[in-house]
Amino acid sequence: MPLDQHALTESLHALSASAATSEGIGAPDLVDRLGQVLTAARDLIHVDGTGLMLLDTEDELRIAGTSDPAATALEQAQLVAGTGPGVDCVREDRTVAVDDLADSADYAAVWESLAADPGNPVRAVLSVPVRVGGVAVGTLNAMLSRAEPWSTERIRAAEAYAGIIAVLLRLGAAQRTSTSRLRLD
Amino acid sequence: MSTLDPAVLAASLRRLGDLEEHDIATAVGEVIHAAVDLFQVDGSGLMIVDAQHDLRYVASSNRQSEVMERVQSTAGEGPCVAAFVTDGVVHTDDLNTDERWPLIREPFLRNGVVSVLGAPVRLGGAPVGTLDVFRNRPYAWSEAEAAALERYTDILESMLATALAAHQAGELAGQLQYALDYRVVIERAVGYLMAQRSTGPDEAFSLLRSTARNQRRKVADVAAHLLEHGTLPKPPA
Repeated sequence: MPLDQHALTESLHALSASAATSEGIGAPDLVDRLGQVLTAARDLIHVDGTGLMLLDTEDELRIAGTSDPAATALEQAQLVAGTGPGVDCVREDRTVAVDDLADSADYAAVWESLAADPGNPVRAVLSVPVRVGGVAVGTLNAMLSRAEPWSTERIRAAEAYAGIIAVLLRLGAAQRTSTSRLRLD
Repeated sequence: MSTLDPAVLAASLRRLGDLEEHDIATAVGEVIHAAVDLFQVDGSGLMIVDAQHDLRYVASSNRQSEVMERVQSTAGEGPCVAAFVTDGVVHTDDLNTDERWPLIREPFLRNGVVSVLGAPVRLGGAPVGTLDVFRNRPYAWSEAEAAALERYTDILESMLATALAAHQAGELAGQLQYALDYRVVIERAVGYLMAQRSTGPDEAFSLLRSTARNQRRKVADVAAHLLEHGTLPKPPA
């Protein structure tokens, strides 16, 4: 299905606008807003699910959130297998597009793990890096329950959503370290 | 509805805090780069006003954007300068036919900057710079895009304000504080000149700026003199 560029633009603009407050962004807001980004990305890129994995202080990739059970299954399968499009995306700091997991020799372990759970079918996976400070600190994953090539416009849209996630994380981190207020008058 | 794990998020934020949160320039650069994907444009850039009240290049997504900013900084005119002076969104849909800014047209077009949308970046309600995006072809910017860019600048405000509050703004801090400290006197002087000379804000600001430059004074000093004496200062004999 072709992307509705107008709807996509509206969505990106609305999410980026909601990221901005003169007071910065607190942790509860951040949870809500990242959730909104995952849902919007799923709906506007026309995928069956989205997930966000982030590195913790020990450099371990952890599941921050997902839009749907199938996306949760995909993220868990990657962490169990220790490999996957999202894992490589963060490790190599690049977008990884897999048109059909069933056909992918690199990610056979992920496919086998997922195949054991037919209730949550995952075939095509797109992982784009979430970059803060010029390095990948996590990955936005999008998945389809059918095999399908990832179009350039879909990849670009996913990268735009990852950009918003990065901005939100950046604001959240900055807020944590902020201690006093600016002299404005 | 998506579900997020607050504990994982907190761990990520701690990691980011350790990483390099003290670098506001990198953070601003990322917001500028993200604007290219968000607005589906060919480049974006940020300018912040300095002690001479000139807009100065701070960050850009590519070389074309940098040229766009440096040319305006030197010429003292252009859509982004106008966005700053009027404190509102300014756009040009096609510089081939738009004759408002004669000094910047040729260098812009030579560098493939054809249509530009600029929005003021504010701190505490006052403009301190502009965020600008461009396309390399004629393009009719919509009201919705103008509104969206203006809202996007709120992210920059949030970031700059947080960095200043946490004393992490580095070199930008002095620049931003100057803009905040002297905005009132400069705004009043621009208003005074507009009334006195029946001119627009662009021309009034340009006169203030060129007077300061010619006399090697700060714009705020020239503005204060104007408000006190009713005339622009004369150069020393």
